[in-house]
Amino acid sequence: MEQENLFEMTINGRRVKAAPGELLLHVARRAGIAIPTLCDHPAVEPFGSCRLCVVEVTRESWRGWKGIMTACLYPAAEGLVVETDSDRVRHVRRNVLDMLLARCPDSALIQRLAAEYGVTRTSFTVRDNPDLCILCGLCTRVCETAATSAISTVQRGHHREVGTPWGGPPPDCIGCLACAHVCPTGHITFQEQGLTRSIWGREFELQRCGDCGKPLPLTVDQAAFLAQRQELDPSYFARCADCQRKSVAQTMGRIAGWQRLGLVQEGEEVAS
Amino acid sequence: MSTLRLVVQPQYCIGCRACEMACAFTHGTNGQVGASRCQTLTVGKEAYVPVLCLQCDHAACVQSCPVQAITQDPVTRIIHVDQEKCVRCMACTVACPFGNMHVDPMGGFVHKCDLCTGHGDYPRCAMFCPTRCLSVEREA
Repeated sequence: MEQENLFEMTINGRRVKAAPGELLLHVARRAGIAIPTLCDHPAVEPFGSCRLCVVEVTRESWRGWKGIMTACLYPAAEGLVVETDSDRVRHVRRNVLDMLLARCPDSALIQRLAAEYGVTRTSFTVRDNPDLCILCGLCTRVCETAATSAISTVQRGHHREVGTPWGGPPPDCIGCLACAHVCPTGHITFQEQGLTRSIWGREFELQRCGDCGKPLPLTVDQAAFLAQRQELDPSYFARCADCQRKSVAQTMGRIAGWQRLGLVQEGEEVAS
Repeated sequence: MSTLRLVVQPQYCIGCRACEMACAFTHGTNGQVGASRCQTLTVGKEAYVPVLCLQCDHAACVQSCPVQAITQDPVTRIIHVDQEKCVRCMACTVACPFGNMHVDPMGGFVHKCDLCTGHGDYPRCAMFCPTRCLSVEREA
């Protein structure tokens, strides 16, 4: 934070510095002010779908008018006055969590967050056959950023859910598990058994180490995709870390052996 | 701030694994010992090589990360993993040609040698190395 065009704003009565283009959520977190979020992830663009990061925003020229805004989408600006834990903010968050609890009554994370805001039982009717998905869309955004947009939200209204094209095994999926790891509630699950990994109803073959034959934590499709997208040689994804460490140790050990015998002087460049 | 460079000279390694212990104790969390970022491998008979991150320029881990969670500090040249940003696709653990991107056995997250940035900013393994095998060079 050594830029010159920093400006000052107020969060919870504290004056904090922010840079142009920064979002309220990041300014607050840098200042050590906690704002709960479910759909925020630094790897993807903010989306504002969980509505949990709402804060109260005002400035002097607004003459007392205060707006409820999502901190993850609201850009920081000079002279903003932000309240992250006012009664109105807590009230909105309580309502959001109340609704999320009606959607996902079995999610431990939602239960814990709701309890923090004083909601132990939802005041809405719990939906039929609840699962753990809060429809935050983080999985689809990560898939878009890091992989192939193999999943997206499907259907509309009440029937909206995260799914694959036509409900079948997704043809574009590479089995990288990024969606499963970013899912805040653990709705997306996968199985790994021996050399196969299954997710979204599709089975993937795991890449095998070219030396020892152990399965790598990558699928064959993922290795091919990464090599192409990151413009790397496919051989980068061919051997396991243990084998690579071993070959490094052997090379370095061999050179060290020469040095011990006095064949190579210290500091001399060693070819190959 | 002067930049640090960790110098590895395997010909002096006696295989005492003090570096591994120092690393594990430095990178522990919640009162628990962490996993070592440095691994001393035995080559043949009586020859040991400590293998740890070489902080490469144009590193394979940086290039393979699909979300740019791994970055190299332009000043210190240390490669860092942004754990918040990481989506755990494990591409870097396979891509590293030296096998120095590790997966935490407990948490499942990836970690690598960070030259003890945030843990005293001085490589603890070099501090505990009884020989000259691991030493620190300072660049002005």
